[in-house]
Amino acid sequence: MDSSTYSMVLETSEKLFAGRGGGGFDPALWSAAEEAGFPLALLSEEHGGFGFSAREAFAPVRVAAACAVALPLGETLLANWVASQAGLGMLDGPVALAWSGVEAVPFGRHLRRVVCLSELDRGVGLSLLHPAAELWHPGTNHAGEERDVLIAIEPVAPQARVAMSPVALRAVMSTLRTVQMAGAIEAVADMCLRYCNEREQFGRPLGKFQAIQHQLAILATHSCAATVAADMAVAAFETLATQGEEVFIPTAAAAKLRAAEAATAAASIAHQVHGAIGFSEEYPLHLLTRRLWSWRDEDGSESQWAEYLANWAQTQPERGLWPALTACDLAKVA
Amino acid sequence: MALPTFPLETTTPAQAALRDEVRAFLAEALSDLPARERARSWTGFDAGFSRNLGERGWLGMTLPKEYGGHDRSAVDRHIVVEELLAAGAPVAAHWIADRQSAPLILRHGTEEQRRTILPRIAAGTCFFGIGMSEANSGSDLASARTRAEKTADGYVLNGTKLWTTYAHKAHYMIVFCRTGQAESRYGGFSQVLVDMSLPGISVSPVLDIAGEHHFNEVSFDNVLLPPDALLGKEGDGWAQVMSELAFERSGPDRFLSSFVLVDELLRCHKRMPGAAETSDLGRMVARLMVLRQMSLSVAGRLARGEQPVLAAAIVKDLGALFEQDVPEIARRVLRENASDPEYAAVFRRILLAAPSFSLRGGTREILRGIIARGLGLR
Repeated sequence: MDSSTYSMVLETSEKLFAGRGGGGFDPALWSAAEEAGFPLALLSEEHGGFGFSAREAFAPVRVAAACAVALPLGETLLANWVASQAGLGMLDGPVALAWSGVEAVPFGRHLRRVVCLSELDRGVGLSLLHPAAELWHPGTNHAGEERDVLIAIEPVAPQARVAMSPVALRAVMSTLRTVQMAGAIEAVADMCLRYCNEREQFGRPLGKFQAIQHQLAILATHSCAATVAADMAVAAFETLATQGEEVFIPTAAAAKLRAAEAATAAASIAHQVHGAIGFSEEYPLHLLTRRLWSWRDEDGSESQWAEYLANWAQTQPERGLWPALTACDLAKVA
Repeated sequence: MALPTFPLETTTPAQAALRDEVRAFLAEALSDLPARERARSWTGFDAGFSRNLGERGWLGMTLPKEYGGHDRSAVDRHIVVEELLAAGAPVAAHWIADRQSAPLILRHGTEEQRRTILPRIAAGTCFFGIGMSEANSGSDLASARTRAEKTADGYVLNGTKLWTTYAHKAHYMIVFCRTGQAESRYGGFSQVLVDMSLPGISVSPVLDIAGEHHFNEVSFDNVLLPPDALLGKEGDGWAQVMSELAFERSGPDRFLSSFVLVDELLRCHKRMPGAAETSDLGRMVARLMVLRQMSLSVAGRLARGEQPVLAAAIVKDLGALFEQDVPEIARRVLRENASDPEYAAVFRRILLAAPSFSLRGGTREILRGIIARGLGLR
């Protein structure tokens, strides 16, 4: 089922990111990721990329998240994808998309450029910014990842535009968080299993207690659901050009929402089965759970995407929800 | 870690056309069936409807043509089953036979059993009951006491099965029973194919909490079975019944039981949006969308000849939680607006059916034990 490119990308990213997480932005690691071609992987070869499929291109993002590596990898990937849609050419990273206004920009102070987005009557306007360091108002998310606000920017006229609805582009950006959550949840499940097999209380490993086994089983169901959610969103992103926004937006919205629910459950179970040690700074669980608590709200919280989906479900024509659901199934590409 | 994989399935144009064809047929065939009846989901019994499906080639789909089947893939069957359940079609008559008895007979039955029974299942004229649970053997199936004693002429069957859905309409039951001395906890079991018209069988109704009759108690009092009643190998009963349960656990009937209520809820709610309610509705839709792809993925793995036991248990556990949440979500969303009589009837039917969703086909606790074993914890 998996292409050889996919396995290769997975292997390379695991080699690169394993054991490198937990710290802040690491310029050397960023250079290594750039050398591996990860940030430009979605670009076609003529645009300076590798022409990877979306599944292949998002694989390093998932691995980096599982390793709690703080790099604007997915951000650069998507900014370049949007820029190429608008004919802006390849952008050296790190670079991120940011809606004009007040939103915090991921890794703002480390970015070479920002692709500023504005809602137009038809489509989304893009302008490239090169903000000076002093224009960033520093901030962080719950995991300590930089989320900086750009201050005192004069409004700039868009330099280019993409023929895509703003909500579709928001769904694209949310897919990055969905993929990250899927990676981190699987890593959390892995950490919990190892811990429960090793840690003994009352004379036997925690994993031998039925109450713990059932908690881990629930964690596994959520991890599987989050992985499928991420795969759905990435696959629908891949077919955006052929199946259209009508399929992609609800799929990505559902995926983000479901992965966020899984994140909440996974973090809760993980801390419970780890006991006090999982609550300590020295133990690496919080590197993942704090990220999950952040990512579930970034690029559209559950409530926001739920509102979108509820409206989508309620505005289907007379034949109801079911035909709309099956219309989102992935068509086999010839 | 040993988490199962759920590779995404893609739909071919032929599969999309099959879906459309089934949907168009159901729109016509069910146009007079009120929502409260469609809400019975796969406990709605209509032998004529089952025969009609058989005529259209939508039963026994994965069986080989030589046994009256259609050589279709598990994914094709999944698509038909999804459409039937989403529409609330009355599928109970053929449900057990088509879902689990036919694959069991195909895999373990004798040539004679395959030739005589499978074509009738595919035609929608032969119905089955499940003979697993007993009064003192619920989740602990290995404690079953029903026994088939071997004689010169075949077997003599004695014992009592419980919770047998539609035994009162079934032509056959596949009975899990003891045939030998148990050298181990799971040893000495077999499965026998019991013709329900044989003397010595009595079927008595057990009503559910809604007062409905679909369950039965089935007693076997010195029922004489021919030697070819044995299904599969003597002593292999445990392994066979586990593979039968894998078919029982993997399908869309594990998350679509309350879909008619989802539809009714959207019909009645349409014109009164509000923030808290929309959040509930949106979450419900998201969970359903992901569950559909998980279940479809299991069908894809079955179609490739795999036995995705762990993946099926995960889908069933998540599916039952979803099905049971639907009436609770409906209560929160609709609040005082439950005066529509059709909605109210659908709601009550689903509410009163919901406790069974996490019991039938393996309780939530059994499933989580299976998942824990898959994770290497047991």
